[in-house]
Amino acid sequence: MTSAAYVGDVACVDVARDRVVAGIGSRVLVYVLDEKRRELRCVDARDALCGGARVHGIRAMPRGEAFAAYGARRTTVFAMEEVEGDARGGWRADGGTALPAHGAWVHDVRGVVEAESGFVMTIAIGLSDNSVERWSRGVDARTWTRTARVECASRCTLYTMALSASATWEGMRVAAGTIFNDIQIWGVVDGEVRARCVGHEGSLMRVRFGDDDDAVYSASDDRTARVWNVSNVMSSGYCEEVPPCAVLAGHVARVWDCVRIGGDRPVYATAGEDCTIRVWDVSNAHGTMTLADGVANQRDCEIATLRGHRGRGIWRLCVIESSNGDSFLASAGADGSVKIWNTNDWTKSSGANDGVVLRESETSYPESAMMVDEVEDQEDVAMESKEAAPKKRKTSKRRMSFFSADDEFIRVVRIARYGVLYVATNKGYLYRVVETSEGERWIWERLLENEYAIMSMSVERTDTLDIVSLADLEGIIHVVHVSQESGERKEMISWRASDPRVLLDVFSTQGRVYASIVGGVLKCWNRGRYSRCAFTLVNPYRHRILSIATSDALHLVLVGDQKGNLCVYDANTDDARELKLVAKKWSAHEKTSSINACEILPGPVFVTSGRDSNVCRWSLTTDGELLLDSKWTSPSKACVGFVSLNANGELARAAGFRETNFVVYSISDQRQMMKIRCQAQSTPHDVLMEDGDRVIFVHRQKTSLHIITRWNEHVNTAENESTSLWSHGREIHTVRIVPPPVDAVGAPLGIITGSEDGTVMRLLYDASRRDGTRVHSPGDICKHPGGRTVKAVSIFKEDEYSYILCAGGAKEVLLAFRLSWASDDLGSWDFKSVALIIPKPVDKAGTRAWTKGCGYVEPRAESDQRIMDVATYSRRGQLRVLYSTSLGAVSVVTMDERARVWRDISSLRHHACPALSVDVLEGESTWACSGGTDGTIALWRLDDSDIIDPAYVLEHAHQSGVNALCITRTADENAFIVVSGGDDQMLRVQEMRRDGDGVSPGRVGEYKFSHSSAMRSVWSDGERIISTSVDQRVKMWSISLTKDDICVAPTGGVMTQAPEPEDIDVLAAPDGVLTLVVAGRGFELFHIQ
Amino acid sequence: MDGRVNADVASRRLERSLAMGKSSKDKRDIYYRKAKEEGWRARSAFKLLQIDESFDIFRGVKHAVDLCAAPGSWSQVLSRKLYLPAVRAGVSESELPKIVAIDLQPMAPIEGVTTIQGDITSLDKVLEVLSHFDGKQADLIVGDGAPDVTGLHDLDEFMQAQLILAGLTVATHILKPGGTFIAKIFRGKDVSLLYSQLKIFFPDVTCAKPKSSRNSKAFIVCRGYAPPEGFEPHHLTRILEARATSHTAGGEDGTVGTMSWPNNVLVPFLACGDLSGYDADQSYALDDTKTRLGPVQPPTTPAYKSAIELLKRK
Ligand SMILES: C[S@@+](CC[C@H](N)C(=O)[O-])C[C@H]1O[C@@H](n2cnc3c(N)ncnc32)[C@H](O)[C@@H]1O
Repeated sequence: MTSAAYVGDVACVDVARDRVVAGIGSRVLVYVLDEKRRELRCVDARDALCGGARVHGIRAMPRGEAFAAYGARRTTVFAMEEVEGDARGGWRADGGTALPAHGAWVHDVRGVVEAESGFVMTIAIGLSDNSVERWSRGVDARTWTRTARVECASRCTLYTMALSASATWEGMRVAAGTIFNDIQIWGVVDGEVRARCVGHEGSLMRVRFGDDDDAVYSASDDRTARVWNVSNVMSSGYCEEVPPCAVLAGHVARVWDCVRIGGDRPVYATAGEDCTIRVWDVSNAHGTMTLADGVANQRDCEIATLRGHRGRGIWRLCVIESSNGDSFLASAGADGSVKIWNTNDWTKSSGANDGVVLRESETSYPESAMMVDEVEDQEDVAMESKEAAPKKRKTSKRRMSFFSADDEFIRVVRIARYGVLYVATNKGYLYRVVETSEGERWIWERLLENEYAIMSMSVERTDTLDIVSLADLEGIIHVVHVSQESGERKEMISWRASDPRVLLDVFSTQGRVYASIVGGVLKCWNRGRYSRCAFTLVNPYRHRILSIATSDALHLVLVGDQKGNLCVYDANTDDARELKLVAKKWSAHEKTSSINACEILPGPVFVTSGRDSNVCRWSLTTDGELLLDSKWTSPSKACVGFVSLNANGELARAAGFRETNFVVYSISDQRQMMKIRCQAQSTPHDVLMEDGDRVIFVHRQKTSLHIITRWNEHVNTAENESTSLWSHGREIHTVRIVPPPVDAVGAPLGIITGSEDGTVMRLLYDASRRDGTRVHSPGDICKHPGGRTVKAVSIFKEDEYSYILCAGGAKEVLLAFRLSWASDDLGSWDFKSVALIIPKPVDKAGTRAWTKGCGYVEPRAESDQRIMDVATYSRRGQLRVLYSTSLGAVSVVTMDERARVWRDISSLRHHACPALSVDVLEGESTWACSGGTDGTIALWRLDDSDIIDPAYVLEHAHQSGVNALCITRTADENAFIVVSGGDDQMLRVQEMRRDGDGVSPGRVGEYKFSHSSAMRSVWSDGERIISTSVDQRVKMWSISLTKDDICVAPTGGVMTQAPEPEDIDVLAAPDGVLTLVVAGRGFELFHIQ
Repeated sequence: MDGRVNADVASRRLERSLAMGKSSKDKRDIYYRKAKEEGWRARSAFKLLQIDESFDIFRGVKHAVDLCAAPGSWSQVLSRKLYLPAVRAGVSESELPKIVAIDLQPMAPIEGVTTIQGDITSLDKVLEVLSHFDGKQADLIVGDGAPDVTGLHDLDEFMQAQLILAGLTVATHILKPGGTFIAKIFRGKDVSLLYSQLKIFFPDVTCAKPKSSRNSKAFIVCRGYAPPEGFEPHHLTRILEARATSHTAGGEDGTVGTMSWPNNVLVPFLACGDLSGYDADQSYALDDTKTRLGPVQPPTTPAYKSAIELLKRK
């Protein structure tokens, strides 16, 4: 059995010389930072720790000649060997030398600059029992000897500890984080505690020494990180109490790490369980004492929140200085990714123009223009103003603040492109606002003075012109052509589109102008033929139409309204005035949230994005129904007002408001690109997400416009497919391999995982790739509609190229997708998924009801049960799905693909406790088995009857729950075997003999101590068994049938890097090689010869 | 899922689930109410009682230690099983059973129980526990301690094991030969090492766990304390370390147990009782048809209380 790949939590990341080294499972992956492309490339992978120990830390030696990887009770030191002939002075890690296992957990390792005499290298190892050991390596590179051990006078178990940098062993200091919420500072000379840093109100999760060793940074359970000054404590002869010099509070869950990123500026980054990285400038927080005293100005202290990780949190941060002076922050996530963030924003002193990632500018209404226009304005005001008397005084005031909120203000702003905006005001003026070529100022030019307030504007670009369409209060549409080069107004056409005050919006795309009118009416004109309305359409739901998309090729028009309804119209009308409705979907977005943007893609596929923070894809059935194919929910939980697609028609970015913050999320690299605080959601704003890496956002702030441009410089490794190790970040409950088509040469394997986080994910595994990059192309297939656990998946083969994926989980939700393999022009294979059934869960239980100490609670409805296991089989060529639930129900359903619902077939009645596992054996008669938490296994003959009673019940097959089941054939045609693995650690093989329509038990084989902990999953082909258990081992067994019983014997095994394994799947290749995938917290692939 | 509402299948299922729901609900009801009625501070009291049903742990026991005791329901069990009967029997003051309980958290007093606040993994506190026994030996040591869970599951398992080894340290000092030690364990990757270490001191080690819970938490019941010949408490660290080294050396690359288990780690498993409280695989609705019962266990102040207040102040 050889391990081929592991994807799981990245527990640590650090820099060793010029490489970024990450600890994933028991291995270290070495990356090179590509400074030009600003991404990480995996160049090396090494096994680091044995015995399934996870790498929790990486530490480079002071002279860069080696680095240590440590975790659990183990430390391995890798020497860095120069790669010969590498012009760039590259190096490679050697195979590593493992130190003997330590007596306690290793919390930190530090190289001592001056090696002990007689040795070539000396390191200090900080252990969880509050001790430090000195280990030295002799000239013989392989042997390490322990030469000293110092115990702190205060003996206790630590969750975290840090060692200081030190030239000598004697100078080494220790910061120990205790469960008593303080940090003890002690030296290895005498082990006496010299200082206690007090103030935290929860256990310490991480302590670090600052680069100069005068500061200690800590992260804690109490949701704060703190900075402590410990520069003088060693000299004092007594134990000093040190208060924090900064308290960083803002995380909404536990904080796991804290580092300093600013050079001169006191800028820190913290990361934690809430999956955010927060950046703080503590210059404002200095001088504050303890939490009780309060911190003067917390908000000013936090300067940025970086989002992008998912799952259980971010474990570690590290700072990377690139050779050209750029600085980056690397974050190691539970989701298996290492993300790289550009920190130049905060570390580079302003003025350095290269590499800026964020540009903010502001422009106010120009005063000179105001003076010139003054007279005209007076007249305008005079005409409109109803009150004559105070007129004069008002006018004079206006001269002072022409653009005040109660008078003239910006109504709409649109970005034409970088550096060019159009602004329309309530006074009916249209301005073109351009940035000067030096980029210092913005120039306002008035293009139009209309009589009435402008309500809506849309800008379309041709090669040479900006075509600005305006809708005013009077119901008149104005189309203004502006030369892009000179900015001159070329042409203007106006016509009445509706009665006054009912014209709501104007849109212009693809040479057409649309007017959205009260009552859900939409009118369209072709460019240049404004005299005649091309067509009208009416929203059957009568709500205001907010978004529109058209496709000339498909002759379709798609509209979305204010209440979340979606309609498709046939645009194939030469002279018909009103378009025919093709399909409609009521409440396409949940909770009647508005549909703010939509798109039509070839297919046709309709993409809608709504206020409910979802982006949905729809397809059209032949009978005119709109079916939801997939749904993507913005992790920022922002209402999605804007989306942009990349060249392949995939979603690239989504943007919208979350309360008063405007958030832009980059979907391709799973990262929040910007978050801007606005005054209110209703302020005029616009965003332009260009094809390249640039996003421009503009919004009104009082009397001025605020323009923010962000370049996508926060690259993370998920973008680069060679380092896109990326997973749920939560427990994986279930895993299946999707075999590629037999004739697909060099095709990867598909992997499907279902997790506690409520998503079903897909990845590809390519054995031919370089170690460390074999798992790639991750993506979400779907989210559980209730956002709850996905417990089990099963795949059903339709033909070589197509599979049906069934996923079951909380709320008795069963999802179905079709997976289809296809190759692209370059001959590389991948599979795509299309949703078949996405039921809507009914949350009858209300909220998640079990709260500690709230008393007992009862399942209120059937749908409160969750699906525990799923198996698929075919009956007369039709898909059948067998599933079991936590209330003991076992059912068979089939798919009605046209109606996209499940139809009940049979109900299997026996279990009166949660039914944990099921499996099926197809044949001329189909047999199934199910196991309960009480240790009982029921056997069933599946014949499509409404109600099925068990064919046989094996009472007390196990002492406790039957976690794993596998039913398989043997050589004997009249028998089959049931392999079960229990919570009681027993592996059991039961032969069942067929007699007529029934079965009776035959021979039995048992292996009592098969694993040292609860078994979780088994696989068998009748001759061999592969099993896994919480003890993190994967074992192989042979089955041999003797005259009276069955002999089960172990034949081999390995430790997997995936903690808490829950599920396995095996794929047998024609050449006899088995590919095994084990999933738990992360997943690992093995090849078995 | 309208497709599933095939009327009679649904109604049949509903009937069945109601029947089942009722029974499981009643079970929870009983234990919850029982805890209230009998005045236990936490339902975990029943875990100890259940272990007692299977193992008869209180027979012949006089003095006891409760490690990680807060809020104190196990100490209550000890008090009621050992101390109060002795008081009622009129045992003289000096002869009364000694019960010492320790926890990181403060604990309300319990009759006949000496409570200490402190970390059991710290040597000073262990010595303090011992000082209360002045020379007497304990017959029973129980530990229900659970560390802060970080989500880095190997670290959590290690910390849980540290609590057990801390318990073992206490045991080596004051447990009477033949005595019993019960502790909560996490049945993870390295549980075999822990089994093996415990087996140095106890010939009879059993893993006990409620039947229906799928949790990897269980209890280890170690009986018949018999330290190796010539053993002194200060040898403990060395003995444990030696066992850890030999345990990992047993398997190539520390993959011990991937072929089969060495004899010294085989620990029988016993499903005892069904008192998991509730099934983690199920979500429940709050029962608002009856009057809501107050919490059995008073909520402790979360560590992040001040952090939240700071945010509010912003
Ligand atoms: C599950 S509760 C115990 C409940 C208790 N047996 C009862 O029945 O009320 C776990 C306790 O372990 C305590 N604990 C965790 N680590 C500890 C340590 N190192 N020293 C002392 N107590 C600890 C916690 O404070 C917590 O109160």
